Amino acid sequence: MITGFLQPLVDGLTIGVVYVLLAAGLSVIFGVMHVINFAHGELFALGAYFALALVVPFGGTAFFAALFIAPLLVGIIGVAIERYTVRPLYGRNPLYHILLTFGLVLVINDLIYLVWQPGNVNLPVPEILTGTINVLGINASVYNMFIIVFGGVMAFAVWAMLEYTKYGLIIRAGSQDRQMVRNLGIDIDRYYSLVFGMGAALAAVAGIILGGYQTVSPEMGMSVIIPAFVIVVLGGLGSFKGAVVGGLLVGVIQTVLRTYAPIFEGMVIFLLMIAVLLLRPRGLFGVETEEEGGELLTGSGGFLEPQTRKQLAIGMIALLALVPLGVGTLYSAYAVTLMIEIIIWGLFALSLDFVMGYTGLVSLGHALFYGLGAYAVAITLLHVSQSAFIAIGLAIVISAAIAWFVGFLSIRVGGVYFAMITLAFAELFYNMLYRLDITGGSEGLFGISTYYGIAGMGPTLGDIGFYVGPVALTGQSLFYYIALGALIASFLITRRMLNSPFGSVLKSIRENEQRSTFIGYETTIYKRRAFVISGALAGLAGGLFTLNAGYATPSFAYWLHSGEVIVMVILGGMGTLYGPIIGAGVFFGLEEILTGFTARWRLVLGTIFVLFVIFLPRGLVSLPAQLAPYVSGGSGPGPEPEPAPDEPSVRGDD
Amino acid sequence: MAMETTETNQRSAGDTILETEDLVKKFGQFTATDRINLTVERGEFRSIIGPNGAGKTTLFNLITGALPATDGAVYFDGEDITSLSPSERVRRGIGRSFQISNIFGGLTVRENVRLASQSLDRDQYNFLQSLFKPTGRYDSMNERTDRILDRIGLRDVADETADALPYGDKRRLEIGVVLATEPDLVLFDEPTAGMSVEETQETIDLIEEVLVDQTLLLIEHDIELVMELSDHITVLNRGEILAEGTPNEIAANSDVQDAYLGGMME
Repeated sequence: MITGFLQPLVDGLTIGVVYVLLAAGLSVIFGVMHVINFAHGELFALGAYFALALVVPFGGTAFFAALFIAPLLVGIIGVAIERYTVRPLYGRNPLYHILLTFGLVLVINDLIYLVWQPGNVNLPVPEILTGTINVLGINASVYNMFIIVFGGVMAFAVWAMLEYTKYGLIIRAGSQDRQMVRNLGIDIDRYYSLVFGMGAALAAVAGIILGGYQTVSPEMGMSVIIPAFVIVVLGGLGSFKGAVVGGLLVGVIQTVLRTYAPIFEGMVIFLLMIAVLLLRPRGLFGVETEEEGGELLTGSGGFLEPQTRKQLAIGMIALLALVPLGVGTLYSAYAVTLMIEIIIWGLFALSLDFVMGYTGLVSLGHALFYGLGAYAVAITLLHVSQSAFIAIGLAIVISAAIAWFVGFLSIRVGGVYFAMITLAFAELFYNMLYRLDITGGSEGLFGISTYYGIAGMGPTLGDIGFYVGPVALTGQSLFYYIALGALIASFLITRRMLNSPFGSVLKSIRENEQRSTFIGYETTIYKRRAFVISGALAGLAGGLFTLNAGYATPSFAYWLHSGEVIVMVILGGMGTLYGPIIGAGVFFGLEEILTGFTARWRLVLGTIFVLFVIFLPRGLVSLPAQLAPYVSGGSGPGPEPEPAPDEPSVRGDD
Repeated sequence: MAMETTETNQRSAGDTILETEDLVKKFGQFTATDRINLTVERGEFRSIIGPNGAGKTTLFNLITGALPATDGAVYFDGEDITSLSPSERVRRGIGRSFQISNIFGGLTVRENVRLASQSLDRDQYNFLQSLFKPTGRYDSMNERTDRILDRIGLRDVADETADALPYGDKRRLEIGVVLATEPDLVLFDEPTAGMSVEETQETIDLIEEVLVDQTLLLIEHDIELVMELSDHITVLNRGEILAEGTPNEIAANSDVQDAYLGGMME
């Protein structure tokens, strides 16, 4: 009876220790540098692959050597990443770190595929670590014990380093108040490389020991990064103790649930995190510091003159309206399919810009609403009515309602915590999609058909066709106009809202929430309303996709989708509404072109993001202004200086 | 001094506008505000002084609702506002200015003032209007905005970005933003911090000029300025009220001299 319970507990602790090593680095990197490092999972995977490269030629005993050499190599890579990519971004908007590290995820992940090929591989472990031993009356695997002991020792060593050395003291002080450390005359920037390298090395150790326990695969980084974030937020950003407690807790809970209540396995950690954040907005061990660590600055605004912008917009719309006419003569029907995808993602990106660029709410879980819209349409068409209007209407209403609920729970926490809690809701939904019957599990929903009308009256797109000479408008081409119409309408409506009193208040919140409160606005209510509008538009985007494509799969709500849409918004230029649409176009355009040349297109795309964020941080819409000095001899408007996020806090108690 | 006394009597002809009752704020073990009973008359110019850490800004935060009180009550115009949110207190007529210019840096000067003006009017429009009717078409709001821009002398730069203004103009703008919410009571937290002598004088002139009808509550380190401007002074020390009275009474108070003025003059 006792053994029956102890076994999952030992397994849970094993996974928990891996999480601790992973989360500790992530947490300290965030605490000291305020960098949300999505690439941490890839460094973890890289550690495992380096070990593999060392162990395979030399046999199992090389495992011990690998355990030191591989983390060292990954640590050096970490230092290089900090030096050459993260460092140029200090003092800039922390949001760019998301774009940067997201780009690094693509680069490193694709490099792993390039060098080691897809598929699961076993990482051989020395014979001495195999077999079982009898501990406390149960038969435990030696390797489990090794992970727990070795990982525990590593964690303890890091803790002692942070607690008892001069380096540790400076790092801890830096996570409390960077500016104060600088004022003491310590060049904290020099310690950043060290912290980043150390975090990377710890992640590598975690990757190696987990690799020996399970298997090594290129997807291993992607699968651990979200739980690792959950642990960091759960424990409190920047808190080492929080990472340890959170890591063990999540490891044990996950494993125990896998044994006893598998249905909750993927969901419970997100529920746990949401619950903790609602009760303790700074996590279990997070401390409230003078320096607002969770602040994410957003917004920028456009660069073009309003008149030019209007002319360009009308020109663009006219051009877009002509696209389907060339099908069959100038290009294949695939062009329209691609354009529909760009338009739908443009709408999705626009919805995110409404809250991110204009209200200052960075939602890392916007795929939730896209997915909700898609599934609402699919379920309506399959079970309720085949009317496209009813399906889209329901998609909008349901997404808006869920956005209200998520907003109600999450808007009380700010900055990074808001980003993380929205991410948690999205992952919760993603996991539910796999487990519920009505959503069709991992297969998703497909075989959907619709008509454009109501109460059984109305045509399907297959019924209609316009033919003028060589030009034929049918099926996809007709839907193209529906999508384009939805995008233009959404753009005009949101733009109108932003010029109204409501939109003014949103912008004021982005600029200075405290001031907004002290001229009499209940900012929480305004933020929530903006979130509802944004959620509804994202739902519309997802709904349109399913309406056209005829299917919905859980991947719609996957975190990578949320990441991609943020990338599009930043790529295009946030706080402009049209920028994100351009961003979507560029994203898919690049993907399309690159896939034509190489299977490793994500490597190139990731590299472009990294270069982009370092050299053109204000988005593509700033390109004309950036180029102006070279083109016309310096007469163009230069880029405005960005507000440094390190400015002293406005408070300052006496 | 006789003249000033007359003026004081005139200004404080009204009733009590603000009252705190045994107000307490604790941060863990530390008591930042310790049973403060403060009474401010309508039309009065009251200054709060005290050494660093005396709890002046905390008191402001309790009055404006930026921090919840641990115990005690705040009354404004006779109404218990202790449990109201900051924005609800603004709507009752409490305005607040901050230590460092606290404006909407990325918006234009006009938008800054209009936002404050809009806050005052918002119950006059329904939800759909506030969502879809462009701000340019709200006449009374825009007229009031222009009037205030005139009063603070920033009409000429109304379409510039607030961040682009020189320091002194940012200060003016912030006062304009506070003014546009039409407060009855304005709390100023060190409005002249970091200013040169001329800038200080300009700011004080502006406050006196545009906020002449309002009740003013001021935190200020410049003792001379406080002595010159205030009708009454409240001295805080370690979260408690140490002394209260006219500038002359405060100057003569030996407790104050010991605890605060003495230390300042060394």
